[in-house]
Amino acid sequence: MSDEMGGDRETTQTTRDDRDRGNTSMPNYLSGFLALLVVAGVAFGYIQWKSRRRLEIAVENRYTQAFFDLVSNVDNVQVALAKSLASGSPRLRVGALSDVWKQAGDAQANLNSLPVSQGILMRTSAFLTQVGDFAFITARKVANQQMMSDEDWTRLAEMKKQARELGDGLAELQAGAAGGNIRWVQVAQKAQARVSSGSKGGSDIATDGLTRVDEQVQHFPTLIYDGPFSDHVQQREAVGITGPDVGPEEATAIAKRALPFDMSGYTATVEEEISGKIPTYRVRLKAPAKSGKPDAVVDVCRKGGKVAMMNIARDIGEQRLDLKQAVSHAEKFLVQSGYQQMQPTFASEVGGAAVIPFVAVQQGALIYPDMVKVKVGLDTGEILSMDATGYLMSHHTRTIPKSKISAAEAAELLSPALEPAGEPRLAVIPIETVDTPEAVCWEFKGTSFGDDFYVYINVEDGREESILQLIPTSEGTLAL
Amino acid sequence: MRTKLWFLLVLACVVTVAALFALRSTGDAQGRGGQVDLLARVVAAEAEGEPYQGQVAVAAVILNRVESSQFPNSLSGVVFQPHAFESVSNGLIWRRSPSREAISAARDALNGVDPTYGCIFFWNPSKPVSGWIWSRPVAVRIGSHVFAR
Repeated sequence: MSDEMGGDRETTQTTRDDRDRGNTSMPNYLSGFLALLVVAGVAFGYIQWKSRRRLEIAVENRYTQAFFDLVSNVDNVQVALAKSLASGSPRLRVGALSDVWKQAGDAQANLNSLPVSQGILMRTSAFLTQVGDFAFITARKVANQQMMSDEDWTRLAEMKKQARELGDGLAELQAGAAGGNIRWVQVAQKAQARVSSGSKGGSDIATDGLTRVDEQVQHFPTLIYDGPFSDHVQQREAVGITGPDVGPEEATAIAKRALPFDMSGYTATVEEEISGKIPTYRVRLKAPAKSGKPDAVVDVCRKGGKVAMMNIARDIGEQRLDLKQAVSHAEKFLVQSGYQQMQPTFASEVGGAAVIPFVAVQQGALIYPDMVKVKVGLDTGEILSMDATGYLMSHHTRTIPKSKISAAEAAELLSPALEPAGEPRLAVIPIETVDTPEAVCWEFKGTSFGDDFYVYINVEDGREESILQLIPTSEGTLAL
Repeated sequence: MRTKLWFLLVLACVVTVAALFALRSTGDAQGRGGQVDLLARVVAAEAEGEPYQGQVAVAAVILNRVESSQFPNSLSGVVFQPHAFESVSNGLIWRRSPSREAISAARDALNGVDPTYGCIFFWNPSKPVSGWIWSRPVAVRIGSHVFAR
């Protein structure tokens, strides 16, 4: 006891000593300042935490809104599909189909703004796009006073059923969300963690539920109809690639020949075998060191050995040529590369170079799908790049029918508000229908209220197939 | 003991300055513009240091997504889709203006050049990616990226 007491006394003494010394080195204002710093730190942390919470809730609310909107969009799609089947008059049917188009588009946008991992909702997204696309095409048909085919009816009925299945799956998930089981911010954080760790990560109700919904959609049959998002358009194969198979050595030789300058000293290597829609060898041509010559990349088709794409990496010097001269340089190059009977459509200037799309010509008709784009430097007239993928995807010999509608008759069918300019030309354009992916048309150029247009009238039945507006860019253009 | 006082004051200053920076870096998403600018920003951030063709390829993948039914049907929809692009998630695309090369690559892709022949995915194999992505058929390798349909 007494020992401890003594000890205590000693300690008190030392403390007093310390304080005495402290009075000189640690003044009162300093401890005040330190206390203030602590208080400020806590306050700062609190404010930060609070504003973070606010932001989190704002984000959470945006995601929740997107999800709830998605559920009602899908419900509305199903209701509008049902109405389009039940309505007897074109007037109401067009209205219902337009509603399907709008609601399906909104649903797709809302679906794709949910913060789940990449790839989970791709099939559902495709389904919604196609439902909207099909409804739009069908609405146009009905408005055109065309009959809906039996196939169209069954497809609409089928879609209605599928939309209901999708709606049911989403509603189930929504019931969970209403009970507060889904925290979208956490869903987002987990998805992010999955990306950065490369692992599958933990599961959550929303991701699991949406994965199930997407798997359900996988069982829906593929959709083939007359629209740009139809499965037959998305999975189109290249028809312009013909000829015998080409080996890598031959491809290298073709690549060297394709380039418009002296190739001595260059090293050429097949860098890659590309297995895309157009299978090619990617040949890299490296200029000899310190020659000041540019490197180039040339893609050569593994079948037929045509040049599919090429790119020459060089800086563009001072402009010395005009667009017309550039066109004649490009024409010469195309003939050398084996793309014959091509005609330039227009030329535009982009950053010191001319971009010139050429199209194939058959029996006087411009074949727009068979396109080769050439980029020419306006300094020397040398080719900068070339892209023939359009041509290779679609080139074949067409049967061009004798026009049932004459150019003069077609001109009668133009809008009264369109002032035609120049002679009409025959053209083949893509129209994305199942039976005939292309249409032979009269092409009219004209102006309407100060804007330039191309209008296409079908030579078979006088149908106005397409209308394109020419949008002038800030840099120069040349119509040919 | 004077030094201790100075040390605390300096520390306080550093903390304040750091806090100010932390606050400033939050509100920094300026610089809008047209489609070319947005596309070029993603290209600049996602394909920095890649060969020119690799930059065009990244822009082409984004545009292929716009055309695909499986992705949003607008450029901004594709770019801002959650978890689609790391540089969009972490705000890197707004941190600096795209280089001239990136702008030119975006322009080429908008003109229809597609060195990937229709790919809708790309990733860097040396960085962590979600495992399912390897199930996509790889079409081509450009620079440090692989591209898949």
